[in-house]
Amino acid sequence: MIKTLQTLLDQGKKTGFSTVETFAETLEKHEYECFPDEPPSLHASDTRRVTVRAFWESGDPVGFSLSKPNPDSIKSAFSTIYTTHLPDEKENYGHLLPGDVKKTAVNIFDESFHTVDVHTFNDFIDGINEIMISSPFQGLKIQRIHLAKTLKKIYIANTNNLNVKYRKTNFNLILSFTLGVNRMDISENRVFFRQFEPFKIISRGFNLLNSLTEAGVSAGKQMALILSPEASAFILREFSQYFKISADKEIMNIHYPSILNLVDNPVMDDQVGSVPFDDEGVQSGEKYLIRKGVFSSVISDIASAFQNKARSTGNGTRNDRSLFPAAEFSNLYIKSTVLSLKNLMADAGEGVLVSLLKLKAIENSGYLFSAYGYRFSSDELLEPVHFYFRTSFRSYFLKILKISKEIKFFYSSANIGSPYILLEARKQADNLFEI
Amino acid sequence: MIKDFNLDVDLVEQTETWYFSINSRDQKEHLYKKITGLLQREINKNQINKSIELSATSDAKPLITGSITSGSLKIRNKEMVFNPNKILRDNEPVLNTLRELKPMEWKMIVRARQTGRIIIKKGEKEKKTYFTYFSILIKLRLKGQRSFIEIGEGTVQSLKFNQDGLCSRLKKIHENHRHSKSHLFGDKVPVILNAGDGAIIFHELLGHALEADYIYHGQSPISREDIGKPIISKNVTLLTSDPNDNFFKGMSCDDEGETPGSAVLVENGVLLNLVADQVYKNRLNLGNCGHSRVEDFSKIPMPRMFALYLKPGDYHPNELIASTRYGVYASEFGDGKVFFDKGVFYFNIREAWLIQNGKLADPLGSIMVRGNILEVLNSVNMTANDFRFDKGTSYCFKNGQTVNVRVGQPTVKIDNLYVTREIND
Repeated sequence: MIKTLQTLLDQGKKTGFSTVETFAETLEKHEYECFPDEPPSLHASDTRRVTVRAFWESGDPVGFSLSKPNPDSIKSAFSTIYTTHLPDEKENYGHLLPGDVKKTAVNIFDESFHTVDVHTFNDFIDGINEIMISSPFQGLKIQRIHLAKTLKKIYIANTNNLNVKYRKTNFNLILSFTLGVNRMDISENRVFFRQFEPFKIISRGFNLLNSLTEAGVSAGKQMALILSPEASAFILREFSQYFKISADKEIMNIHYPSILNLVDNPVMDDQVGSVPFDDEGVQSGEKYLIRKGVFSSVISDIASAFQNKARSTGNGTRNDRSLFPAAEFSNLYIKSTVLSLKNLMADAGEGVLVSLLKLKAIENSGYLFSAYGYRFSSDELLEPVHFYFRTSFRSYFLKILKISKEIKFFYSSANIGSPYILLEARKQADNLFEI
Repeated sequence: MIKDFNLDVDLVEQTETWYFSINSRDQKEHLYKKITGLLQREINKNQINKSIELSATSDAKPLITGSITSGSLKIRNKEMVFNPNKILRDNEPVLNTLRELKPMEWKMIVRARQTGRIIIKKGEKEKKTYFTYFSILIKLRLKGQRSFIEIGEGTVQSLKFNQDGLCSRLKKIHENHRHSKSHLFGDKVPVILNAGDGAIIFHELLGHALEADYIYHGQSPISREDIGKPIISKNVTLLTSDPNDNFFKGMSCDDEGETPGSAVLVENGVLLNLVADQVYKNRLNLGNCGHSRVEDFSKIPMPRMFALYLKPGDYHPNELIASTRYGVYASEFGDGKVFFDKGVFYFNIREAWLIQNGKLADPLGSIMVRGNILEVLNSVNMTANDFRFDKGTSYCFKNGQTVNVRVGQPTVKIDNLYVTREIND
């Protein structure tokens, strides 16, 4: 692969581009899937793809992507994008591509990757079936089990002399549950296979499905809400766009509660969002987006940083559907405190522990969420309830009262983590609250 | 338990994609993508699938299990001229309209894609399929709006798009949203879907419910036993091919090398066939397959639709509006989602109008319609005589795979839909 990257850089220069960047990704993926009473289906895939971003002296860059490139396909692809040069005198960011990156050790590779096979999968299913039979998850059924293991190797090189690589493993487990008429897919991603805890995943499925009720909540003018890590991470994912460099700057001048620390950290060991450097070869470390309630930074990739006359924060990410990187979070999380969930429940006295959120509407004034959870009194969980609440970025973060110590991460395009969050909601109408 | 069944099929693919975009800040992106690969499937009691990325289609020759009678694995795509300078010149009317309308933000995206596939089944002559597709997508965000509104056009002919049509649609959707009035619909109301793109709702609601994998796994509200029985309004006849439509003409077979025996899914409300691939045809003991589709060689095929057409009725489209005292007219369509477990769905409409006393009244901007699947399908009250194909930008997303689909219908009136501004639940 190193040789291919060098051929790409050389050919790019030879074609007439001033700066060339190559990004190669090889994926070795094995997926196992089974439905009840059916033998598993297996899918092994081996993909090797190279993406190129090429710059002229001025104007916007152009790019291409090829399967397993060879000298002929490389030459042809460069000529395809070179011959259609659009005259453009504006300055570009080719000179900002990094020339070097320090090596950071991040624990994101599972040495046992190759030993996880169909036999491991069958044993794993047996374990899940045993838990389903022996534990009191009444009415819960598994409709589908899907396990994928992926070994990703990344290589980045550019004509500014960068030449780096790393490898990373990922295990994805999807369990499709039904409880009564409701169905839900629970998906978890881990760097190491041993990190899966089947009992906890099944409990999570049962807890979420069991909270799906139509029963409303009766409350006075105020109601204490404790958002579960999953519910809080869901809101954080919606609001995370405000921490990208192009976002609205007005909300940055507000002082949020001092217990609030929001961090993006790509170099956390054992986390699926971790990388030693981003997809442009820019190194990053722990960044406080909010520190003690004060807005302190936003994330960017090289292009968005250049447009805003700033430096990349090392968050350039390439996804399947776009060739050029865009700013994305690595491991974004609210920092935990010393308080336990029990402390939060005791402080609140009574209220609702929200397990699951769904986005109902994005209005000009804010967001409307549909919330499912359990009423609680002191530290006892009671019946499931459902209600709606409206909130905005500003209002939500201003209303955070307490944060717990138990943090959990949930992966979907970025790895987002949160502890339990205690907030106060105000009643707006029947079964409709405002945070 | 699964019956004994053998399927050995290899699929060799080469796809080239060209992309050009320009936005309101004059930023341009010009990209080219070429993927080549092999998908090998061996299905008997077990299912073994293997995807391998290749430098060239000829590299597949030593790997395939079936025999090649033509002796060549070369995929000959058409000569493609994709020149951003020409695209800018050809689409100047659209760009000028965008500059005149001055939305907060806009982006114009032009794409071309050519896919060639060779399907090799053990003991059979290999088959080749081709799909060439050109599309334009215009996204605009108005002042005070959080999300983009989109309009687009797709064709299998060339990179030429209907400039007059696009400009007029841009102006109309811009006006509709700028002057949109919030309206509270307390109860279910009739919704009129305009001819052409509106059929995507039938694709979502009924088409997916007829997919054999959903039926086999008990996820669809329809079952195998419903074949031969009335399942929806007698005003509905659904077909999967139309001799006048050349959209999928290069795809002479599905991704397993099969073609459907019958093009009728539902006739006058009676279910006649399901949407199946060979695996589920066997599992459900069906007579028809030919609907196996895969996004690219790195994924696994599944039963899904190519095209879905709703047969026209006898009414003049104006009669549908005139017969509606209070309801909604939907003219531009977005995406939607179906929840088979609960039997409900929602669908986003990008441009909607209020109907009052049989006439179009206030613009409503973007709205969402939702309802109970079977109740809505039984509420197809009137179908007009103005059948049209969609504008070529219908896509289908299923189990992480996106493919082009084709739909067509006349203007249709559906009673009993909830209309809100919400997203989903």
